[in-house]
Amino acid sequence: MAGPVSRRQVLIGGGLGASAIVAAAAGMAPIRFEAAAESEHVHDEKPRQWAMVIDLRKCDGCKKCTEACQAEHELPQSFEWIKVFQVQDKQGRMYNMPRPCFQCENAPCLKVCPVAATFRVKDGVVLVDQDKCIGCRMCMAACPYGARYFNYNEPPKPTHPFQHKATPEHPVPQQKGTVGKCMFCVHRTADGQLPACVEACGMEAIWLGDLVEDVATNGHETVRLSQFLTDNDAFRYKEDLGTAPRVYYIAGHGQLLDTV
Amino acid sequence: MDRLARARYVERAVWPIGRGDRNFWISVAILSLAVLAGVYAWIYQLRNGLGVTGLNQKVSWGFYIINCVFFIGISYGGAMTSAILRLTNAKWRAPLTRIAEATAVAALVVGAVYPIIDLGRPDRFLTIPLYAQVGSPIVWDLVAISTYIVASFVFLYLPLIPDFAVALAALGDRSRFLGPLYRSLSLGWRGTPAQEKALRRGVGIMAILIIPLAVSVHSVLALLFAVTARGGWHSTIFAPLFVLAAMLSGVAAVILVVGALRRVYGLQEFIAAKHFRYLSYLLVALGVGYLYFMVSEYVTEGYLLESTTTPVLEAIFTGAYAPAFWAFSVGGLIFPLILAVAPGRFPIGRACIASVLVVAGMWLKRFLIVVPGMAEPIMPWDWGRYSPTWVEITITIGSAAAIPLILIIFFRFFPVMSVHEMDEVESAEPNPQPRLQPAYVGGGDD
Amino acid sequence: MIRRVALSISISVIAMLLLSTAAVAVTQKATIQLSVVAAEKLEQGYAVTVRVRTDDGKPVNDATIRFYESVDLFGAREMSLGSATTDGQGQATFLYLPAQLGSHQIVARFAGRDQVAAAEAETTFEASVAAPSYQPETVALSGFTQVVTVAVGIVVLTVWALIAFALISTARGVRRGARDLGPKGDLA
Repeated sequence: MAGPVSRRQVLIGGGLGASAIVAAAAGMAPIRFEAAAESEHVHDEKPRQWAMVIDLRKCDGCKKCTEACQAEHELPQSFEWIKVFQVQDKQGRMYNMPRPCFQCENAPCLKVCPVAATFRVKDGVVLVDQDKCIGCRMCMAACPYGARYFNYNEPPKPTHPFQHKATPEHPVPQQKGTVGKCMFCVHRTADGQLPACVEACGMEAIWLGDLVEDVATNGHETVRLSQFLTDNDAFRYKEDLGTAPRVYYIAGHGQLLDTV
Repeated sequence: MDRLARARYVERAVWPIGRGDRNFWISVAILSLAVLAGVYAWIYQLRNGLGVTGLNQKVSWGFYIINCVFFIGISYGGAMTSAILRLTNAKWRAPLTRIAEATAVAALVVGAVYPIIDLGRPDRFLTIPLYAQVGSPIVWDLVAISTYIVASFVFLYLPLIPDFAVALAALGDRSRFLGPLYRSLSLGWRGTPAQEKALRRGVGIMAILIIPLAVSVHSVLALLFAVTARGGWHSTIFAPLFVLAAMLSGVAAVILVVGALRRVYGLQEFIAAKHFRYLSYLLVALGVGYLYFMVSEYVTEGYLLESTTTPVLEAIFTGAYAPAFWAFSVGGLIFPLILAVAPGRFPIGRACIASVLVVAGMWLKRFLIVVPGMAEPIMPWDWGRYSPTWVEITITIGSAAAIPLILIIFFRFFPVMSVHEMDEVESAEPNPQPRLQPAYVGGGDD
Repeated sequence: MIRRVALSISISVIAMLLLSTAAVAVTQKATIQLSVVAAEKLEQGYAVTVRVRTDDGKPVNDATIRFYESVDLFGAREMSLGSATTDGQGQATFLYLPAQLGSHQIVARFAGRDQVAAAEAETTFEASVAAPSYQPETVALSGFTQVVTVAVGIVVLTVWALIAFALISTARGVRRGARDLGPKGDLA
């Protein structure tokens, strides 16, 4: 079902077929329920709509964002939730393009999940409930940005003991056989901290913004988001797909604004 | 068909029931070994996770999805040969329908297991109806496949009802153990007009229903790919293309199974060259249709050369996947179609060879849809790689062996040719004229 | 005597001269007067106006004034809004349409230049006009999709009903046919 929905729970039917029909009927009145476990000390109570701006003029491809992300979420090397692509443009110049999850407003991954394990929280971030995910990897096929990562193997042993159970808002450790992805560090933002990649970026190239208050910061400077985007001719990657990504790029080295 | 011929027909149809000669046990043993190896590989995968496969972050669908589409496609032969020939009242269908329907069910059961094998958390498979999000193509698949499975079983069972009565009468001694089972399954069949009428209605409904159901299954399987934003997949023609591919491979599989069982169970007298001729015509018609759909797809995509489709087309036509593609299109489609349709000697042998090539080609084609579509650089800078491990290969071989195993076991308990169907065909037209039969087609053997 | 007077006069003159030159070299303090009023047109939001003067009341012209708003985003931060340059009267106006209604704290800052020291001022105003609030992009045809879903559900139900009918009616028909009409034909 289309629409910016949070989790959907649909009634139980008899057989597989029958249940889906019940689901079809119940789809008219999706039952929402709150995210299973909220962070306990929430500082930021404002109605946020997170967005990210990545300044390609500044990114030097050091991959500190990737490393910080992997440390934050206890991920193995091959899991690049924010992946820095090194791209050679048609003029032969190199530039770097970090790719987090785009938290699309019309997210293809969210629509195709058979069990609604992928859902959107109120601040617009798309999360994965790894307690629900069946590991069909349909979302990986549907994601036009390759932002999703499947836990083929047992995730690495955590470096520090956990104080809590893994939740969609803080999916550490990852669960084998399920899909995970960048979640804008909602466990940190809810706590009044910038996402790990934003904090780690020495070039101050990654900005986290709030579309409601219309403000964005890279941890050092703070700008008015809408103005920043217009002034710098920001674009969204593969915007023509209609996925309405929440991640904006600022081009600067003569990169083409489109897919190639 | 005179009384004597009918008696021979019945004798041949029930001949395999309860018989376990040496060949039977050898083939059961070999096939079971292959199936067990596949089951072992699956258990190994269940214990260690999908990490033991060749799947990776970029190519996250591989052999399992290919096999799911392939085997469910094979099951279309049953729907096609049985339902369509029934609806068009093709007289020559009578000895073939049972084999076609049984092949359909066997392939379908095997194919329907693959989505579960493919899951990262198969233990949560049954939670899908609990949380089903009706917008997901996976849910559509499950609804369509489960409906189709139930319909296929019903479609297999209904025409069996009178045959249980026939088998009960014909088996004599051999029905000692099966007798009660046959008696209850035959529902007291005596061939009264009221019974015939009820059966005709039931089979009629199912024959009509099974065609849209079969179409829906592969349409929905195609949507699994077509609703994504991937260049190689996002195509409006995918659903009909998949349906036609399934019918093509299904008819080829039916030719193969009929060809094999005819020899094994000594049905040469009833399943003759003309049956293979007609099935070959069906095969060629579907194959030409498929070729046309495929060319339509590639022409529209290859002319515009959108940035998303171009890398896939390059890889398929001239790049890394070119050997597989040309092997499929020449060796698995064009050549076998010519081979099957050409007039001349050895119609049965040629039909069987063509069918082997078509079946193999259709598997390759599914590979060419799934893997390059997955590996294509959606962030336009890196191609994915995929090479299956022994786990995927063993499971694939095991599942392929499961189909003949199921069929052998099935025909050890149930008549291999439909007796009632033959009676019906014979009585409907007392003096059967040779229709649709080219002059050069003899009734002879190869 | 005369020489001493002349000397002291000359010293004091030099001192005065020195002092006066020193006074010229010393930077003057500046103050920013910051006020926010509704702009001429409603959709322009608010006119944030500054008057920059030195302590002795002279207007400071050609001064670049930067405007900030105090925000709370992962801690207190100053969001850069833009800048304006003062005119001959030391006045500059910056049009600001806030993103949200309610209280806004604006900071105007002058970085300083030769002979005029840096200065800043802040004020709080209550916004009753704001830019259109952010709306997530709506998904097209979502209502239609729901209708389609229900329609497909009905079709699926019908199919299941038909399958059940085919099975059950045949089974019942065969059973009843056996009972009602008795043995017939050569099969029984």
